[in-house]
Amino acid sequence: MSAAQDASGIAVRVFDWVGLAARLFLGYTFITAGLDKLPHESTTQEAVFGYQLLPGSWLHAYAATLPAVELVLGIALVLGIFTRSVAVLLALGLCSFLMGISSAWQRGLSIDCGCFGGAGSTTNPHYLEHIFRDSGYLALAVLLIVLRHTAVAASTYLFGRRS
Amino acid sequence: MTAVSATAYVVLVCVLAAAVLVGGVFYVRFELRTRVQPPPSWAMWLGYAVVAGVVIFGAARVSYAVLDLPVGPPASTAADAR
Repeated sequence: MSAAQDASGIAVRVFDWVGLAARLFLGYTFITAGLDKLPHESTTQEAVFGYQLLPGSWLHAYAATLPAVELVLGIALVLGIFTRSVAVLLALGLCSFLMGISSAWQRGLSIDCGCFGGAGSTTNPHYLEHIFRDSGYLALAVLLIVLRHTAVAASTYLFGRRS
Repeated sequence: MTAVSATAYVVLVCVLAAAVLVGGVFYVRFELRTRVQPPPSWAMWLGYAVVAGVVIFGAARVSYAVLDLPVGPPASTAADAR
């Protein structure tokens, strides 16, 4: 094996472990977000209502579904099952969160983002901070989409393919 | 940000949405071309269509909300009323 192939192999392995770190961090974050919201559906409804983007008839379904979806996607990421598909869904979700937060800021609303529980109006919304934070999460999700496989993924053992 | 920049905000959202849609087309084509065992192309394009639908809906809904000020009562009033 040539030196170039050696270097390439090492780089692939490094990216595998970087992908694992991104998976665990993002998975943990979404599991936390899901668990924070899951027992408090009415609070989540109020948070979603605060954005004034969805019709009232959608609030219940959205508030009931979102925490469960976050939890399932977070667990799938931690385990490394369908990593890239999960990352695509998370990237979509993060884009929607970013649009919600930035549009609330643009419209002059003063609301708690409700990302990890909490809801309602606030005198000191941290929109810019939330936008930077979610952009960082989005970058990690995109990284997981771009990387074709990560280290220690359950898909490798379950389906015999690297995920 | 203020209401004055609503148009600029909507333009930015639309440009980003368009970039995501165009990037998605390249991504799907790249995946189909380079993967050793790619999924069926119809499945990839179906997935793309779902994602594109979500992106277009999100961009349209946010644009509508931003341009159509004021949208409903202030959040605090609405929350108190509930």
